[in-house]
Amino acid sequence: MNTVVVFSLILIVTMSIAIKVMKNENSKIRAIFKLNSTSTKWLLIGYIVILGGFTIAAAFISPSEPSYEKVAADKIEQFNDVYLNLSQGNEGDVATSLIEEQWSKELESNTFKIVNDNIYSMPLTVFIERIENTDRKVVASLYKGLHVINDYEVRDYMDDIKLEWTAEKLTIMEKKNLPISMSFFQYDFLFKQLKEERDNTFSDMSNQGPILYLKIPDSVNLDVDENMVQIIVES
Amino acid sequence: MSLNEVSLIDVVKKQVQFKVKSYTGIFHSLIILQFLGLFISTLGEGSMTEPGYGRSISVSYFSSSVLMGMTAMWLFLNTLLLTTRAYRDDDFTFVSTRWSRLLANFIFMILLALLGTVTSFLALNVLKVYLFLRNDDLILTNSLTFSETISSTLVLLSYLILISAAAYSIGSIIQRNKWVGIGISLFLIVLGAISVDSVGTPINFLIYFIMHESSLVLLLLKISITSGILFFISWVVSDSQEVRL
Repeated sequence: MNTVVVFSLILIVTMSIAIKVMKNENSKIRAIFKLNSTSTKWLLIGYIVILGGFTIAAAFISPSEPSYEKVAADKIEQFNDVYLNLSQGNEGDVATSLIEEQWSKELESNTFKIVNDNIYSMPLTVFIERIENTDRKVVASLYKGLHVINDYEVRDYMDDIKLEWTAEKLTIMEKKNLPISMSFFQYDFLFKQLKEERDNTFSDMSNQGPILYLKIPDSVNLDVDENMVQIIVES
Repeated sequence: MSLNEVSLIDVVKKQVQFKVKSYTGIFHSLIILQFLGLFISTLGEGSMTEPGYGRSISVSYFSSSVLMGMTAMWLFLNTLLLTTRAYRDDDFTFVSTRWSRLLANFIFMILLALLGTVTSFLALNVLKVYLFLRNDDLILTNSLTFSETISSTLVLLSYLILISAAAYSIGSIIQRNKWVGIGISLFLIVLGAISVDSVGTPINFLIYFIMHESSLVLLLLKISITSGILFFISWVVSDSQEVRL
């Protein structure tokens, strides 16, 4: 039984007892709690003063900087463009500011293996461009992802992904982090009517996952589950 | 036989003072309902959990609507009660007329609406404090500036006056003729339900007329005219009700 159910039950029982006591005209408790106009006036004044206290407290404890950043529409569009450009092999058209990390790995043998640590989910999109080269050098760029819930960006999104490089192998792993809790508060239509702001339905969620863009020489043998990656440029 | 001439203002003033002092239950019920509204508000309007890759994301939604709804319900029910026979009999313990009774009730309802506006507006901060303490990362999706706070208070007050005007009219009609009153109430409920589902159709005009007005002056004007018409209906239907049968 959760706390809410227990609290509700306590509330119902307390209210039932209170109603029974207040109905009994001979009850001493009723005599104590029966409020005349003077005590009602003070009760109301007290109530307003307490509410005023909470108003002051709310002003003090509200954070000056919001913990989540509101995402502008052009930023979402920029991330959509990243996917489009990279899926067409146009890495040059993507802003370098969106690169989270870059690697250049010299392979020891002629085979390169990519494995996903979790068989049930793939934390990122992998695009592979095969380049005409006889080198054994793999160049990798990890592009940032964007997870938006109701126009707000989920922070530390990239912290969930870990890439582990060994001599011939790249392992994609996901880091288990503490769950994120986001609480939204909105004023209802009465407060927004003059702003011509319609009710937020609170159902917007978009996710542009991180992208790993790999440039692998065509002389290197690729050992990878074909369902896991997309070969976008093949020589 | 008294030779004192009592002015209308004096009678109304005395009646309002009497109502404020006698109807203490109305004020107690406001506090109880707002407490209940705050409790329900803390439960949130919905939540969801997304599994995510490395971690789960839980999202909860809170709003001011339950608290405002509770305050509106409090005002509606208490205004409806003001039109009942028991309250009407209280009014005629004074040397009063139908006109003085209507004026006194109108002023009393404005006082109640004002109290409801102030307390519900302040009570929202209790909810905010609770949410801030519970979750440091509370996202206020639409914060209000100082001028928006003032205009929102006026909007809230005018809506509450409109609600009490509607309740008073319905109550007066029910007192006149129970079946006509119930019939009108049912008609309004059905019309309201249809209006909500018929976005953009002429029937929706009733909602759009007031709820989609974005100019404060026009909104106040529309609500004042509508409330005035409703009070006029109440005055007309309460004709000859000074006489106790």
